[in-house]
Amino acid sequence: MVSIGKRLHLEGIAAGRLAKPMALVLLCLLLSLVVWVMDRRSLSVQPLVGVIGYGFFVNALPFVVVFLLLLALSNRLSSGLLLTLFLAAALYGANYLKIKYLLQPVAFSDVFVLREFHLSTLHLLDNYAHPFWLLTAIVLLLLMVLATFRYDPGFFRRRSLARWGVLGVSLLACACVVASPAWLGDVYSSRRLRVVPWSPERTMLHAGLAGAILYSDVEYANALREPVSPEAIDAFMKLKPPATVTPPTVLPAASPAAVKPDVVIVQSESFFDPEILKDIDDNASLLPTLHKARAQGLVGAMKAPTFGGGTLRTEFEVLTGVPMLAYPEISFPYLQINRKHIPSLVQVMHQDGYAAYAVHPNDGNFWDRNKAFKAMGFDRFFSKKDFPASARHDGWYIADSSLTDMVEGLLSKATRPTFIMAISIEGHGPYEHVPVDDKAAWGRIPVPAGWPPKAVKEYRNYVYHISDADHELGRLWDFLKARNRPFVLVFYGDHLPGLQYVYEAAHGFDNGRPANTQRVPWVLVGGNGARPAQGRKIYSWMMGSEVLGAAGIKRPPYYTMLDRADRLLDAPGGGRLDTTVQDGIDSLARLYLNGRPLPKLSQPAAQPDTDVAAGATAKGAAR
Amino acid sequence: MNRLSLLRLVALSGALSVLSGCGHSASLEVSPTHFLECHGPNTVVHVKWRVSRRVKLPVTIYVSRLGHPPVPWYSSSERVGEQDTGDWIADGSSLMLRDGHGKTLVQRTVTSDDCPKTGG
Repeated sequence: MVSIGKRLHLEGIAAGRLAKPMALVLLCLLLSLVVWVMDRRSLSVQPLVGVIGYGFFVNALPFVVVFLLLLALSNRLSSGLLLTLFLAAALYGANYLKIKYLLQPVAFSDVFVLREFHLSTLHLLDNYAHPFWLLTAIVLLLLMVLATFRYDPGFFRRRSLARWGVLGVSLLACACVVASPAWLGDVYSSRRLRVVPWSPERTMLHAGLAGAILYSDVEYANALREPVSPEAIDAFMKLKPPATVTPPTVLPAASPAAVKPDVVIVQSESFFDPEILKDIDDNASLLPTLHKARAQGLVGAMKAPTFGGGTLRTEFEVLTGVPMLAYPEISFPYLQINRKHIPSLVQVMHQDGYAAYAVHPNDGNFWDRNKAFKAMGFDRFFSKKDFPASARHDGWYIADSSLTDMVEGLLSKATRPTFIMAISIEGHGPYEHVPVDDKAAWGRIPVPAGWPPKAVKEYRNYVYHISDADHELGRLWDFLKARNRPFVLVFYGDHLPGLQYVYEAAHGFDNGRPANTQRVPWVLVGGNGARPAQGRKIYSWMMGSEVLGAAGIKRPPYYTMLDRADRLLDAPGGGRLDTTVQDGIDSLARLYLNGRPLPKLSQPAAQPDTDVAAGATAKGAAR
Repeated sequence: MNRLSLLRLVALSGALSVLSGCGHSASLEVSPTHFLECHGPNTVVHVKWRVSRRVKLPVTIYVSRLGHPPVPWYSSSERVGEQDTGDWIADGSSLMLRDGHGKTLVQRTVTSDDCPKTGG
């Protein structure tokens, strides 16, 4: 009897010792479950879909590590749990908002936005999340954490070895995330996580948001080390572009003394033509300049690499000619490509004797443009601080009319041919509530009958501002024409806006495809007119080549390749790039961005529009 | 098991049942809930719904592709019914049963599985 009693006593002690680790394991499982439900909710899928799968556990790992770290540091179970849950809620809240507005989940590369955090970033985020509630939540959390120190007894005993053990393990886990050792790549491998490279949402569905982010973290080190495929380049070079889709205009021979056209590119914030919506038939009264350009055969359709936001992706493609697809791990090129020199259109223009300016009425640090534009070689970047304090505002930001004022001012003072990259911001969302200067004009915007009030309001809020953009395009066109100097004027939307109600109310798009696959209009006025934009479908990375062609500037080798891809797209049955062209250009872009020599074309690509500055002179001034 | 432990267990079960959507007066069955992607990225699913008398009619089934807002697919004034979708259910597509007020009663998400590897 005595030995049985002793055994029971010893078992009781052992059970007591096991109680805390058991409780901790159960708590970690519960935390994993709660985090998984948050993950599913932020993705708007069934709360427990995929639970207890591989993704469930690898998604939970970072949260469990954070929880254990906080527990070891604070020695309070409740404060560790509260802080971890708050961090998870903040992450998933951001994810929900990003999917809602930008149709893509939070990604590892978003840390680059936080790294370059400025007041302007805060101002932008302020439009999407309510800082009052966030601040209230933080204050409440701090009060609760303080209360735990008062009322929650310590989890570990004094001088507990277990506490040091937990601290050591969790710190080691954090160090692993930073160092990304090979074995972590095995845990967070694309095969195990079922990563879908072209669909971040599906990757998140399989791996959870944290799982997907950690996967990208492991992969990030290799982001710029995308391989060059000589076979892909070879296959691309063997393709034969059609001789000349549009016959070149017969132009007088270029003379060295020919006047070079000024080149102005306007990247218009969120501009697209709502006529591509099923319910919208005619908006000529709202976008008269676009219609005028279309009537003159000057409007094409362009595929931008982003939707709802991420302006810099389109901007990067236009300025460098490098497709974002060449670097699938890079989402924010200005932030992620940290180089003193980035090859760009600017350098080509410089070599031809141009002055080059960038103009954007937002904080110059936003998207790290100050640094990126310097690396691309702009002579000067005019940002918000260079606009007069009295500059007109409309919407959330400085109005497009002020941007035009600045462009006109620069051209008026120019003493040599000038290239201006003007990036507008008036049309920026969100569009649910956006200030408008002219309420009467806003109220006159026609809306299809039967639309719900929220869609009506959002549509008017959006169209009001793109109508301004269209007006400014007309104003700039008139200004350039009146100068009696040759010019090339390019105008395009950087992406479609992330409208919440309009797309659904309008019953989708004429072509039946989703919003994030639609194209934006591009307008090219002036130039030699050899390849009019009308009806041509291009990708934004082809824009630089289009500009050089229209301005009669000789294309350097990489731009010759882009022109080749452009012409292949024009071939019968073209309109979408096949993989041979895309893979070839991706590999060539990797060589180009890294300053490596490009293969030579055995036969020079047809360049009917490249040798005629004089042509640009004649036609540009005439239009 | 003491009373406190019992209470904790009940609270936990309650929380889990709310999370898993057991508290609704409606059901939505989707078949299959998983499909193999061997024969393409999309599939057809069979949908059955049942709502109690407390639910306001008509009920509408919304469909959302992953990362996209839901769009109405099928509306009915019947409390019980079934319907086949078209061949447009993809990995992560959700079907949502909403009542006459537009409140989501149940949500089901269809997921895909990789094709089993054959041979070496």
